[in-house]
Amino acid sequence: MKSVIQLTISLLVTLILITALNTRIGSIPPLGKFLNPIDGAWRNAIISDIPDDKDIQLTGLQDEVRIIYNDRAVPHIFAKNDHDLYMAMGYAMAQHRLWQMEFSTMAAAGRVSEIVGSVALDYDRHQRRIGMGWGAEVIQEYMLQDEWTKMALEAYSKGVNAWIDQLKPGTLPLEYKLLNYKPEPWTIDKTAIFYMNMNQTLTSGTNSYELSTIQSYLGREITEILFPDFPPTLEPVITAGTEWPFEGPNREIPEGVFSPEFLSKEVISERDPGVGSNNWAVSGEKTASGAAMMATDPHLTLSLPAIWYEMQLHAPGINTYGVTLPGVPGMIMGFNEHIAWGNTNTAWSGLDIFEIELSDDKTSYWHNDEWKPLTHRIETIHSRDGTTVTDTNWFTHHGPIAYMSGEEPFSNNIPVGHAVQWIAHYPTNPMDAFRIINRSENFDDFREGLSRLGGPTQSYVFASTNGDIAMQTNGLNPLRYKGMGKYIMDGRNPLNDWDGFIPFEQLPMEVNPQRNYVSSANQHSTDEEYPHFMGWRFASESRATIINRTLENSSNITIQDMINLQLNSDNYRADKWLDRMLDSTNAHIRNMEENTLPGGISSAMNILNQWNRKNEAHSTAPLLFSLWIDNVEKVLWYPFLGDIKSDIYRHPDLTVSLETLFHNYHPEVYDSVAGSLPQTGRLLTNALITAVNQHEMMGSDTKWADTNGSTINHLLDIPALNQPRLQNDGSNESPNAVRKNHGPSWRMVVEMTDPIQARGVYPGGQTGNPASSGYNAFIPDWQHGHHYELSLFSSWEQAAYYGKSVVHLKPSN
Amino acid sequence: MMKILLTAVIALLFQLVLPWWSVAVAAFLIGIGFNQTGFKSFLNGFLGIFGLWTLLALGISVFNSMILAERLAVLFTLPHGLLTILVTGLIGGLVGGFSALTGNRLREIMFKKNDIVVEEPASFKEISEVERIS
Repeated sequence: MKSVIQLTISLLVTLILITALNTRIGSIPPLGKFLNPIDGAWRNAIISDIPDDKDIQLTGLQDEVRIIYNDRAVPHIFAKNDHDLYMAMGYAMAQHRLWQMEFSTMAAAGRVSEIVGSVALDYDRHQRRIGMGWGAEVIQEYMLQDEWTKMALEAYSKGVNAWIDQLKPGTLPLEYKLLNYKPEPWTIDKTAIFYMNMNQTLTSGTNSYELSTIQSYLGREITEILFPDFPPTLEPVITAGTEWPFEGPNREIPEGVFSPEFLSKEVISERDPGVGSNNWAVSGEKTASGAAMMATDPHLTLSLPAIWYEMQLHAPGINTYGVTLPGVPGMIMGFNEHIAWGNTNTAWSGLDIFEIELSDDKTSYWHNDEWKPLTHRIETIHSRDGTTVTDTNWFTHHGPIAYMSGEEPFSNNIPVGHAVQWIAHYPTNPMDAFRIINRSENFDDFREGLSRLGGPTQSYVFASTNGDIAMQTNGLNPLRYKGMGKYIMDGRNPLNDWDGFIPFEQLPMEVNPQRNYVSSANQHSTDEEYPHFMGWRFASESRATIINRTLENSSNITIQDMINLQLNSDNYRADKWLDRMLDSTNAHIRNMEENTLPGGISSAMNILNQWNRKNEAHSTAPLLFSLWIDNVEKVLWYPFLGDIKSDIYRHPDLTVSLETLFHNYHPEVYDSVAGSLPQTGRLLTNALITAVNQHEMMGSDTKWADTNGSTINHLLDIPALNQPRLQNDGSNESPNAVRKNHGPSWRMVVEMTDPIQARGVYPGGQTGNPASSGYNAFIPDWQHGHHYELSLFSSWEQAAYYGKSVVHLKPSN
Repeated sequence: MMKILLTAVIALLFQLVLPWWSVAVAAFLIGIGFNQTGFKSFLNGFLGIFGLWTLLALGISVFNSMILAERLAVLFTLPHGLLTILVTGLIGGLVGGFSALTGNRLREIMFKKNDIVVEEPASFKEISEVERIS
């Protein structure tokens, strides 16, 4: 009897132990399954980033394909037809980035609950409420009407699935093991939702609801002066003074100032003004080689696995090298044998918010003096814990009503009872656009490709071996009356309806301008002469000014000069205003009746005075300056807060702020609201005292990079997989726009000589496998501006000569 | 020593084709196959799987320059990468130990019944001879 009890206990302990170690508990992975060294996490540590030389049979392949890997694990794909090219692309991409590809599409589609359980329900619902799935369906339906696109998207899916099918429990990417789930087959709709994802990152920003709130207590006139359509210092993308041979839309403007019912006194989230990108090109007149040259560095929220994936695509009719987003078949930024291109965001208004008046039974809405029926769509959200939530999304002709009254909005960006109209909801075929762009031989081809790309709306820099340089914007931009969409709009009034888009031919562009360079840095696309209204919220002139002055003053430019400009960490604000700020502070201190200044002030002023005006990692001055500026803005605009009194209140642009401080910008406005002009010296002194205190609180040896250095987080933000803070130079005021978790996500420089010379680097690594040294292998070189040579090979034999290994894909029967 | 080794080898072979918990079956089989005290059978099962998993994880970590071990240390808030290897071994060891003990207890019940009929089962004799030789 005793033995039986012992057996029972021992058996039970064993079974419970095994069950517990095979189950994910909270956020702890199933420990036995996860830690066993045969097919658990340890197995991922012996997956090689560069596959060995081998032959692989792939079902569905039409002809043989060779993938040559270089020593950085970049695949150079050589196929004999488009079908095989995109299939091999899917296969190679999945090999390094499968988890990232799938997770980012599920996150975009609002399917995170399926992975992590109902904690993500609100997030998922929000994604669906703003029409991510709906928009993806619109895009997909449109794309599949094109035979070539259909073929390429199917081939790409086939390639990804061929990789998924050969996976074994041991070779699943680490994150699947950590969260204990498995990949599902790749389908075309995942690529479609990825295009929505790009739009969400780049075109979904809006400040209309902040501005409406500010307008409610400062009035329209003052709001317009503080938040002008065109700032006092303008450095537009397209050369100022360019003439435009067409007229604006001539739309009727609704009368009066619309006061929305919903005003916010709460913290408002917005697109970070520090997020942006640079690109530029110089003509042969300015280069040492005599060939045109281009540079691009898109700034994004940096993440791991890296945002970009580097590769070469070669097949009859196409030979291109560059980077793309895992999940997108086609090269988004790069070069081919004839042209090079790179993109920055335009910051045009791509998303408008309309106040909606609903009928009592909430089935119709008031528009154009009549009740119109709402349409709806049912969304089903599955959760990992087995529950299923169905959610009804309501639509007006503007677009979806994200949150009905009585609901709690997930994001403060879109208030309750408002409809969202967004360019991402309109049909476009990015696949077709990049098909043409990747194969372009000249600017005309390139333009044709861009004319088919509805979004994101971007400024594409262009350079070609025949010597042309150009800047071309693209995408859907609604025909607007001046100011349309700047404030929340009355959804009842048909004068506010979207009514067509700016024709592609009229979008801002320039080719071979007299100044021998083109550049963009998310600032205004044009000056006020341009007949269309594009929005008002653009990046300040900081980066653009540094880039343009540098390019203007340069000749005999080399690739290294371009790299140096990408790494430029000059502080534009300090260059322009610091001397005046110090002078004014000194004057105030001298006039103070008794010196009651805290001890740190004079040493802080010394540090600032001797500063070289560069945001260097190990310097104290940029941190002091940044804290000082923050406090100046806070104190300066305090009288303008109305009853908001929130730290997150939107300040006017920094140039407007500083010019106001020195009484150079509409002094009458400040006087009328605050009751007097700003007392410049006193305000500066007080702000500096606060800044020095803040710095001492941080620890007086705190340097710039300790607060601003890059941190690059894994998509799941699990500390074990994150890149801790780097000590790097830069700020959002300089071309090297390093700013906490934002920064240059891909730096590329291409010289259009024959053969083309290209350099590039991104913060991450080709493989998404956190167990590999390749995961973050490029980060030190990225940090120090060491670009890699990018080689566009003309045959697989040539690639193999320089490469590490050759994977030979063969069709199987 | 032989039982530890045997547990490890069988566990490894099982794991190559079966899920991770097949190590429990390996330890169980050794537990039921040999006449030992409960404590010894637990210890042998524990050390067999502990040894297998620790050595594999250690070997991988050397090959991998401890990159994964260090990441896992952060994940499980352990102070050093080497500890993640030890934890891996410990988890395997516990499963191995309890499985072996279960086998051992089952054997005791089976053979107590048999003891009434014959003094010592043939199979048992053979195995204990093998054990003496090793």
